[in-house]
Amino acid sequence: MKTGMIDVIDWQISLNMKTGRQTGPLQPIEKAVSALLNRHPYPGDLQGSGCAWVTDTALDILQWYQPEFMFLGYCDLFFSTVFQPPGAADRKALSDQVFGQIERFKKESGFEVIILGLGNLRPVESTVDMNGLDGWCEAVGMTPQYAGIFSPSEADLRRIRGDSRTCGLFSRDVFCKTFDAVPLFRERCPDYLAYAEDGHYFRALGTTSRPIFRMPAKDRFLPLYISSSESGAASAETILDLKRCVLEDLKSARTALIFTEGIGTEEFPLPFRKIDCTMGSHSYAHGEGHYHTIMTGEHFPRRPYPPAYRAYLDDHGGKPYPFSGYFETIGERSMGAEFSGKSAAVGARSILTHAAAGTDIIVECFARALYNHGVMAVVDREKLGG
Amino acid sequence: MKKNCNYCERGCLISEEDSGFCGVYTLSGGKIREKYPDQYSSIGTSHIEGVPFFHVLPASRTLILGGAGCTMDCEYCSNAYVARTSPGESLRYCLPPEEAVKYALRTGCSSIAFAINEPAVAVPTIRKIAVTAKEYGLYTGILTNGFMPEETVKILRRDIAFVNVSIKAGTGDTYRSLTGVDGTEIVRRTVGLFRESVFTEVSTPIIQGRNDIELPIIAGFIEKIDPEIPWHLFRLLPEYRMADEMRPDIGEISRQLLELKKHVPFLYFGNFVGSEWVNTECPSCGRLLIERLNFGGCGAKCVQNLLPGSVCTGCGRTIPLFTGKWDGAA
Repeated sequence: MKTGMIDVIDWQISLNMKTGRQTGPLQPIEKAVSALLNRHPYPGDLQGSGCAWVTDTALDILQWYQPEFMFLGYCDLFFSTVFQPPGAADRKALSDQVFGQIERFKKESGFEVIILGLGNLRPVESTVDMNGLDGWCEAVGMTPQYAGIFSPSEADLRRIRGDSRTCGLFSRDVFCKTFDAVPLFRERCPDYLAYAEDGHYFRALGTTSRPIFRMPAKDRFLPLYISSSESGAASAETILDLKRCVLEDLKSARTALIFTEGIGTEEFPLPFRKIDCTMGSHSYAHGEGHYHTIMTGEHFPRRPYPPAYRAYLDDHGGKPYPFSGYFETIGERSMGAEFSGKSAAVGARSILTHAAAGTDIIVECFARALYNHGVMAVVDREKLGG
Repeated sequence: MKKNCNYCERGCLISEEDSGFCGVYTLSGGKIREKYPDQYSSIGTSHIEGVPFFHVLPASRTLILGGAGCTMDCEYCSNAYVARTSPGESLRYCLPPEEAVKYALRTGCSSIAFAINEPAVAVPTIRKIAVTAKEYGLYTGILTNGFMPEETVKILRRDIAFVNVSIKAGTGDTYRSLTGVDGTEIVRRTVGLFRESVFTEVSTPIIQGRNDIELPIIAGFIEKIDPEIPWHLFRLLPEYRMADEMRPDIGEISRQLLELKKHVPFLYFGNFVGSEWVNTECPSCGRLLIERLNFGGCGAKCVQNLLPGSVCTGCGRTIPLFTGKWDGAA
């Protein structure tokens, strides 16, 4: 069983992650995590201090749990640039802060680190309005680069194909066959998937109404920094290789895999090698695709959540893992789950951290649409002998 | 030429092509009209408990429409990015009523809810949608601050089926300091008028040190109109001009609410993850009737509906519930 522990400042609750219902008395390790959450309230997505929160929390866990594998997610550069007007945050200063905190973690923990920049951010050129179709369109999230088209007419398809800001329109069959999608992905896949050109995103049912100032670029390569010359990651060619490399490295060294969101090859401040982040003609942009693909070493159609996935179809009461958004399993086949030693994760990307990490202990911010509700931990009670 | 806009209580005096406080109505051809009819800032599908409506079509799905602009200026506004900015910048979707209804039907919604900003800034648009929705068997609901004249309430209640009115304070001074206007009597009148023919729930954001001491006053008012009205209390996460304020203490507020629940039995306390105050229990026999989970944010999600109709399966007590028909207050 995985225990979810939520701290909303001055108040905590613990629950069974799978059912969402309250659990009984805390196990010793959960008591330690409870105290940890109390010591490290999340400062918020836009305060520029999320990076210090990640490092402080990670070093705290290190002291009393001594994990050998850590997964860390630093997101300040992403949130502050995407959701604030240019000039609101000094990117260079913020980048120094983020990488300064990573350096502090490295120095104080003695871990070898593998740091991956999750990509450049670029100005938004336009949003593609997908309303007014004979069928209908759903484009879920902050800057959706995929739109799901349902029951389109021929005229709808002509309209979408004729828009120069759409670089691809794939039928379910073509997409699923091309990328070897699992059956449930196929079952849930919209009739068509439209794919936006770099610098454009779709606007339809489910798109956030927050003002967006920059968006993820469609990079084909990401910057990868490796602290150890012995690391197997030095041979990684694509993001799919990282899982294997990290698990290999863990045989000989305590290792942290670190995601830095909102920074790519254009600004990455450390020496790096480029690794491929594409799937055919598709580039991974920030979000679920990155987290799961890197942590599992499998492209996203191997998981049952297609772009424009209609999470509201799960609004029945029986959905497992109700605190995990639309994910029906957490940490499955991920690095953390497959590493038999002690592991922990800390991340500022809310649900994605616990959905993808698979580590024994996971701490993440409980922020939704920039609203800071507190912090959440997920503890693998079975693995920790509770 | 100038004319008063009477959609809200401010009664702004508007000249041709100008607009008032909300920025959404203008004077055109001698008439007060919407500047952005049928335009929205967001369209989304969610469970109705998230709006929040806890006693309306439980466990159903609703199409949530968001506009822009507001008639109040709340210090703590959670949606200032659409409510307190220039509406023209936010209203990026044009959705004629038929299109909105199509979205609702195709995504399996039973209703349409205006829930992101104040609906009084878009009364003609809401009426058109509500009328069209009704033709297709859908219900329309609104979430409002209630700061509107009688005439606006009467226009809206002709076509909407359910409403959640926010009562933000118990006294004029607190109302003014939090929202910029004294809404005490006006909002109370609005609640009473809606209650006559529309299924009504009410909400109160709790700002500790500002309005928490007035909760008994608000409870007294609700009890006087109808103690069966569901009352949602939110632990406010201060935003906007109150971003640096402390969050309300859950323990302290909970102790206070235990007393108030004796007077307003369908009282809920949310906007904090994991709240244990979001279930519906029978006030007479204590049986769990609707189980919900709070994932952060207002409202909650229904995980188990044990209430097949409007009657407690344990003791037979009637539970106030909109199931598609509401005959008004008893």
